[in-house]
Amino acid sequence: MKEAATVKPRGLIVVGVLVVSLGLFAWRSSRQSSHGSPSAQEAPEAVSELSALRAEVAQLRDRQNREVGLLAASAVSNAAAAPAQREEPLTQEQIAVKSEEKSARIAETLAQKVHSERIDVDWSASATAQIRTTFKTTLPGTEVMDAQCASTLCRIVVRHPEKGDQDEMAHKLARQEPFAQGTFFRYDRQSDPPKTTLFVLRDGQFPPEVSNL
Amino acid sequence: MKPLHRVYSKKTILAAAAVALALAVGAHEAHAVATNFWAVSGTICNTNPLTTGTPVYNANGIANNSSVGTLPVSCGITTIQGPSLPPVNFTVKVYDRNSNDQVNCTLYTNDSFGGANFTQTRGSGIATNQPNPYSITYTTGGIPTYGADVECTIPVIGSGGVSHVAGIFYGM
Repeated sequence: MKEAATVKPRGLIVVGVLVVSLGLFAWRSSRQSSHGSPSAQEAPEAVSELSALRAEVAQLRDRQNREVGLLAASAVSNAAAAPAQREEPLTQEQIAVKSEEKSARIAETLAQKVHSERIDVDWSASATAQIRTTFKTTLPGTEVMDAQCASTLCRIVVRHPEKGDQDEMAHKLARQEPFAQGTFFRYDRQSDPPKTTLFVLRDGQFPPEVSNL
Repeated sequence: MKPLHRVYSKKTILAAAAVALALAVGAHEAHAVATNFWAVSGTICNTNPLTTGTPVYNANGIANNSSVGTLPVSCGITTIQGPSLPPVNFTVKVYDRNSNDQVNCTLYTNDSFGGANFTQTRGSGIATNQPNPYSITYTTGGIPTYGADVECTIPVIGSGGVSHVAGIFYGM
């Protein structure tokens, strides 16, 4: 009698738990089923929403990859620079040499860009004419040996009568068009008479190739 | 099973988007921290006593207190670390309070011989009487820079008050 009284409530509890579990499972299944089966009107909306989300995820993934790439490149360049910092500091002469090398690379890259890009005929003609006129009026002694404009850049080579003219040139041209947009000056101070190559940036931006040098 | 798959896919995509966004923002912040910027006040700018304009130095830099003459100023930056880490960006912050004329600035970066190896002229825009500072930005492409000069012309007093060159910022 005593044994039957203790077994009965346990059985009831087990049965009760089973019934509640089955009930919960059935309720959840029916709820998910109703959510997951959109009506004919809802289906296109859900599909477009899913497409938009997928596109957003793809964009975020691309952006993340780009940022991670930049960080990795920065880490690599820092790692490359670190040993140099631990070594003997560069002398002024060595710094000047490295500076000269980088300026030469920039000039070479810009020259290649002028030669390789398509020619915007209208802009090229007007910019070249403007350059020649500006030199004639602002620096009359300076001879324009060559002037070429493509679509985003111009390359100009000039010869100065005196070194003083070469030194003053940048300040005399800086506020005049098209030089005001942005001009890189590459001086040849060894030649006699002195020569300078100028690169005029049409929209004021260096091409990406230069920033990566 | 298909509907269930659809529900869970949506949740998964949202979670992935949140994680990707957090990573992207984190990476962007880390990248921003890695960049160094320096700033100099417009009070370092010099004027030529023979030119027009009335210079006034104050907490906002250098201003032109003249109602008749434009003020040319020259701001030399000598604290650049040399060509190994050349600045790639320069920004000149100005207050343009004249709706007819603009604050116009030319950047000159110098090579190891003291010659200008890059120049660029930009302004704050005509008819921009602005209560807030305006940023004139220059991108040098990372050319070796031993020093720089910024030369500006500050217009006369406008309807909004005096115009200023507030400061120059540059980053590596």
